[in-house]
Amino acid sequence: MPETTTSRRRMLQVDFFTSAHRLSTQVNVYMRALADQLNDPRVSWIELEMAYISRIERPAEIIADYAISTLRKDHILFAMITGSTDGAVKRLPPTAGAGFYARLLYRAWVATRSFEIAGLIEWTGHLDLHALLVTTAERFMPVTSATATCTILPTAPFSADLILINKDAIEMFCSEEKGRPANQAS
Amino acid sequence: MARILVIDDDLDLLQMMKLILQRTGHEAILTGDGADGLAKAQQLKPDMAIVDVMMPGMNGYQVVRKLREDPNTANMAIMVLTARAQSVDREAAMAVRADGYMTKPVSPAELLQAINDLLNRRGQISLPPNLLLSVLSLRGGVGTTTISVNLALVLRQPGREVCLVDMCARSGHTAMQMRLQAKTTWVDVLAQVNGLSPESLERLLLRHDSGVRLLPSPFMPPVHAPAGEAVTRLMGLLKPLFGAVVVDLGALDEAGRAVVTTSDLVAIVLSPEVASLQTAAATLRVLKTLNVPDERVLLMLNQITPRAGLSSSAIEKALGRPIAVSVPYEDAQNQALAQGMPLAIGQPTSPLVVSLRQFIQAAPAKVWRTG
Repeated sequence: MPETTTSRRRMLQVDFFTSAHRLSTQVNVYMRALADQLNDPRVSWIELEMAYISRIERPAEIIADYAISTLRKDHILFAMITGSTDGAVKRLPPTAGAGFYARLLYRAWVATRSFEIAGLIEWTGHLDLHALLVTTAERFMPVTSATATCTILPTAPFSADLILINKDAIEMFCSEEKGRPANQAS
Repeated sequence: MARILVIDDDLDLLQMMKLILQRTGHEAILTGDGADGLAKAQQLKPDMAIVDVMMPGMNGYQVVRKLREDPNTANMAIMVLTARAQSVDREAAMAVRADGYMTKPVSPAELLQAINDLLNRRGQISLPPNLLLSVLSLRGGVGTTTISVNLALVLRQPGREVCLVDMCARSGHTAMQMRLQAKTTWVDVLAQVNGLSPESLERLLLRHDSGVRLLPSPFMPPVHAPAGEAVTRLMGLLKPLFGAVVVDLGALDEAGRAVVTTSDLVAIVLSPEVASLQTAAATLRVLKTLNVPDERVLLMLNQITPRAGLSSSAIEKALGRPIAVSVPYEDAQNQALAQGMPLAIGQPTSPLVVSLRQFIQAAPAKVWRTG
């Protein structure tokens, strides 16, 4: 299941992509959201449970599976969550976007090594690329309603409700304003 | 009811599947391991397997491939249920010849719908074209209308249009069972049948959400009994228009005789009680005098109450012919009536519907031989 909860365990189904592999796995998000775990600068690795590994050029074929594994965070291109995204990122408080500057949706197109990712990002006021990509502390940037296309396999794009992109892996970033998020449209 | 093997290493999901399947009358066989699943499939010959992809050791694709390679399990309905939700994952499932693919999380209702759809698709019934089937009982209250409605719905499949005709002369209830308003009835149609083209006739038929077309009987009993010639003409118009025409028949008057003599199959419905048995015996004699070939006449024993009645063997002995199908008592039928949702739609795996499906599957051979 994308998200299962038992005592002190709340497992979120995640697909991690590196430049060579797809890892379908589960991450325990009982204590901390996935984004918080990925953005934690004190830890370089993320622990996974039951990892199913595929090569990027044949992403559906499972070549190996392991009960425990760990993944080096700076080599992750992005993490992909389909279905329920509860436990993936912290929910914004209801007052978010209620200030002087409205939260706006921007179309984003991102190129990383071997992947192109298109989707939506939320930002308060005019999008400040320097702030988004350089000065904000979070290493992984959430992109919603996203599609990731492998450049060597462009006919089989991956779709997800949420993709967390490793900003260090971004080679190109393009954006334009789309409007207000649906829950703030006036 | 189907026997369904579920192979998934998620124990919570297995328990949920067990509850869902058992509650809807299916038999659930559960295992958390691909290799054990293959052994159980060999041993227990399930009708369907639901296979997870991400399982330690042998993954779901490998399990499906093995099931398809084994002649004993090659024809089993297989659904892949996985958290891997990408188009490439669906293609991979189809590449190993799974019949269906669903992504987790899935609601119980969606899952059941998918299971029923797949079972129905796999069990699609091959029938001769333009089948005319009359469902007959000269005794009221034995469930002829319920059987006719559900038979029509069971017969309806992609590529096969079905028309249900309620020829009851005493206020039939097919329209009510299908929650349709009987705007145009056979009284209106028969009044103009000689001038009707197939297209104009089709326009006069009611359409149920399932796609089944209905020619209902009038709510008020008609003053004049329909003429046999007009009914023969009506059947002649309907037959080429539809893959199957089901006629709910409650009498062997002139109209009833016209229907049974043009039918490919006459199903006599009886309940396990003496009066119904006597009526069935009389009906068989009348059909003989009408020269309806024996091969075209089948007996349907409908258990209309939960109480046991005459045994099947006693009925068979008394009538001198086998019962083609025993339709079990269905408690949910009252609810289906109240909701205007026939069991074939609301509970397609209910024993009543399954028995009708079996009846249809068994019947065509007789039609082929004589037709």
